[in-house]
Amino acid sequence: MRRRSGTLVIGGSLVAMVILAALVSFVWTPHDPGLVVPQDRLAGPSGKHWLGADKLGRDELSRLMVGARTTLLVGIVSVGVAALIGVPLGLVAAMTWRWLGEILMRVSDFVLAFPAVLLAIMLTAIYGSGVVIAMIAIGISTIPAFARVVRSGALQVMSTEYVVAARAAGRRPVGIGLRHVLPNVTSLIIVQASVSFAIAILAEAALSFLGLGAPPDVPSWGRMLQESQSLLQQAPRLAIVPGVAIALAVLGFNLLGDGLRDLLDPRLQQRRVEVQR
Amino acid sequence: MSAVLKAEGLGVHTGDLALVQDVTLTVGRGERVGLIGESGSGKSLTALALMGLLPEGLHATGSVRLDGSPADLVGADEDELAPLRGKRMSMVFQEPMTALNPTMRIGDQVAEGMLLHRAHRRRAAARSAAVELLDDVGLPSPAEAARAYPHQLSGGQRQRVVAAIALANDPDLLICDEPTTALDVTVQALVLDLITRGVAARDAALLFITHDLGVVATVCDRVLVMYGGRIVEAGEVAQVFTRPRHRYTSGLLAASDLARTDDGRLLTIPGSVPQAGAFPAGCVFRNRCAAATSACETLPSWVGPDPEHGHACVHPVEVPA
Ligand SMILES: Nc1ncnc2c1ncn2[C@@H]1O[C@H](COP(=O)(O)OP(=O)(O)OP(=O)(O)O)[C@@H](O)[C@H]1O
Ligand code: SF4
Ligand SMILES: [Mg+2]
Repeated sequence: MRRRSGTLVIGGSLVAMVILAALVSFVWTPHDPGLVVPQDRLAGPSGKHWLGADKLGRDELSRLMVGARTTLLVGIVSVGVAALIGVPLGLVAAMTWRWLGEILMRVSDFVLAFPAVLLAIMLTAIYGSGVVIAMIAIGISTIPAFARVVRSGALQVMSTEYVVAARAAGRRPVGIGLRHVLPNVTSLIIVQASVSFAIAILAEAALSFLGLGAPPDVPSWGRMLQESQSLLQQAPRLAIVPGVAIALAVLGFNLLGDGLRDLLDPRLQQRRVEVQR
Repeated sequence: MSAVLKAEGLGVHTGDLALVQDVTLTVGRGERVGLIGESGSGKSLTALALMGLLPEGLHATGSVRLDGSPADLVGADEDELAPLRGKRMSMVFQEPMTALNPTMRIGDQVAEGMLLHRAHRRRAAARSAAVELLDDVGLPSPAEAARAYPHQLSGGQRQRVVAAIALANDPDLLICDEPTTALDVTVQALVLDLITRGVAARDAALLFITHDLGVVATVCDRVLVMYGGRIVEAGEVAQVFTRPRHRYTSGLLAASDLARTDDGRLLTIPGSVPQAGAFPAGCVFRNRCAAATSACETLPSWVGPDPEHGHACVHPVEVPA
């Protein structure tokens, strides 16, 4: 029990740090994240640049803070859209005709077979690169996770006596879905959102690293990583800083998801509904 | 007395396996009918079939009619059944721990039924009616209970809530499937009392499923004895319990020994209830019956004036003159 709540606290703190960094960056950063200062090029950590400066002399910490915005924005939009589409799909798959559920699950298998990055490359080839394309690609590839988790959760709820009792009281299928099934899979949805968020962060970083995400003038962790690539020998710090940020954010959302699962619904462990990683 | 519920030749099947066969029963207004039998006899399936609530994969045959509703409930779709359920006919389940939605407040769950069937159009009115109803079924501090979630109530209190939901729209028929089996003995009597009073106040028909013959003796007027998915004996409680004819019924009574009622559970009849579908052909009780002969290998016909009175035994227990 103790260890579990530790998971929640650590995960929550890491996530809070990312959110805080992003929020503070709107009103304050140590320096202008876009400001090029030639004489600070590749400067090491100092009182002026706590985390040093990059190859153009831009402040690393400032760029990291503003980059957190990109990370969170992409995560929120893509996970939000995925949930908005995936949750109803999962409910429909569980509650309507069996054949429709089967079809939806096969389609989701198909989508799952395409990693977000691959999908983004395809979309980019057609529509050009950008944050929106990244969000769409990540969002689409996250839909199956929600649909599957909600479907398996809903199937379990559907077999409970209170759903039979609700039908015995005259509830119709739509009412059962909204009033009885959905509220009882909410905790699953929250946990899945947290875990999917971690995956979205990684995907966004990967896309930016490939130059398919945020445009060059928008700071993002993946792009910082990419820009550090040619300087790995000279200034490994430039790779370590965004790398650690990404790792901690991913870890944070994963731990938060695990912690929330234990907190929100201890029964989930017995119910054996696995979140999709 | 008009029949509120009339089932004829009701069967439940999965694939070509028959789980319940040829059940014919009527329950009249104000009448209280017991349905007894060992575990696995098909009592719950019968109840679910009457409500049109059979789980996926199970199908009902025969006919079920509710007084005043022209349609046969067997084969009716959800659109026809939903307006009847909870309004004309409702059900109390065995397990009060799982029959309530854990994420919904008690008051909302009671009010829901009334809103669904338009007993009240406004949520606020339905809520206050729900509190009244909770008071009615004897929940202490009903206003507080209405705001509580199911896990905050005891098993007995929850079963009162379930009963309140079932009675909310003054149904014509209440089906109870072992409503007190999961409760403490002390609470059982209170919940039984609440159900019988609730039914009497509404002049509703009651179909009461139980293991407990003592409960049937106190609650019911008539009784149906079920075994192997069939009704093997039926009649007035006093008649059936004092002068059983079917060998299964007499075994059941001997095993329970009403005079010496212990915890209400059935003691043993020799042998055990076969798996569904593994009952012998002919008389379903044949493989456990001491009086069985080769004549029992064909399905015994019903002996009695009507389906509500009689038995299906080739060698019935002799009635002392
Ligand atoms: N969904 C199902 N599919 C197949 N067989 C089932 C199904 N539900 C119940 N059965 C079988 O049908 C038979 C009758 O079950 P039922 O639940 O009606 O018994 P019961 O008389 O209510 O027993 P209990 O006293 O234990 O509640 C049992 O043998 C059971 O295994
Ligand atoms: S019909 Fe035969 S086997 Fe069945 S209860 Fe009567 S005597 Fe026993
Ligand atoms: Mg049962």
